[in-house]
Amino acid sequence: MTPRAPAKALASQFDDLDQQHHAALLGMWAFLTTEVLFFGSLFAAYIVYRMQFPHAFAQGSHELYQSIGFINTAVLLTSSYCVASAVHHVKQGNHKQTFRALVFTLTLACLFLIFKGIEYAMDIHEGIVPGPSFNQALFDDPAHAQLFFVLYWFMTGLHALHVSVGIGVLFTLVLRVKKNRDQSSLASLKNFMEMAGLYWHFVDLVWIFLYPLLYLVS
Amino acid sequence: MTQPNDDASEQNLAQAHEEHAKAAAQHPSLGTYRWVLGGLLVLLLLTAGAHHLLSGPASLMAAMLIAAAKAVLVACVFMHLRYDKGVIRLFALAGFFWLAILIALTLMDVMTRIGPAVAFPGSM
Repeated sequence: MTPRAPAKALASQFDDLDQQHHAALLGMWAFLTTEVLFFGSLFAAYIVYRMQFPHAFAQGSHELYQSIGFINTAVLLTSSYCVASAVHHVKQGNHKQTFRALVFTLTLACLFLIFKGIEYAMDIHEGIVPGPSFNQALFDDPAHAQLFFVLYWFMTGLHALHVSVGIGVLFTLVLRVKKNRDQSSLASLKNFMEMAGLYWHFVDLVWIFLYPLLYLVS
Repeated sequence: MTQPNDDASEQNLAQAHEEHAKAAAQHPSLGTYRWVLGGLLVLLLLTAGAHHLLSGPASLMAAMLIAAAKAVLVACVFMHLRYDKGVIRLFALAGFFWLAILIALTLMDVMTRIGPAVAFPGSM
């Protein structure tokens, strides 16, 4: 039986809601594939240079703040759970729980950026920014330690940029969920929320690999 | 004249809905999500623990294996890949397939350099 979809939820180019949902997922995964390669090129550079200069990388990694890295990882993992539960609730039409889960996700996301910012400030004070202000005395091989830090600043910086975009998307979702309290308009947000969830899980995935590669080199 | 075509397409549509309903019925519960979060946090503790206990290549191997386990949990449950149709999984895997090519060909170049342009001093 073909469901009579409300005009708001079903766009005209799709036959039914299932096809629209499938198309949304495929489109999001196609974009995430490009993002895998976007970050992937930095990971490839990391692999090559770590293989060439293992000692410099280990010393560089030692200068990073392990506790902040650990806490940020826990924050992102939990935020992934929160956004997954938000998607779960919106599919069941629970407006209050959806809103709450989204707010939790947004809060944790902002916490990540705050901790990252504090860490960056401390890093700059330590003198581990490659360039004229780099504290060469800390390292046996300062030239190649700087290589590690170039990768650190660029990879975490690019990741933080993605987190910021994610925060913008999550904030938009929070506002929309707040506005659409009734079942049918909440249902029209399902695909957007699921796609936003996929993006956020991807941001988490990147960090899952960034954490050990940057903070736990020995 | 148009009746048989309409019936056939109606049947296909009904079949597609049934399949999707079956797949949707396998949507994970909140309880499953909580278990996965618990597992992820335990793996995080393992990562930190392995870093303190191991060093060198063993440390890298352990860290990467644990990270891969976390990634599989996030991708298959949170990102729903375990419950999705084949085409979606194909799109998801495609990114990592191309990343593998990127890394493999780069390493193939860098690791086989000999003479003046040797990439890894002391190994060749």
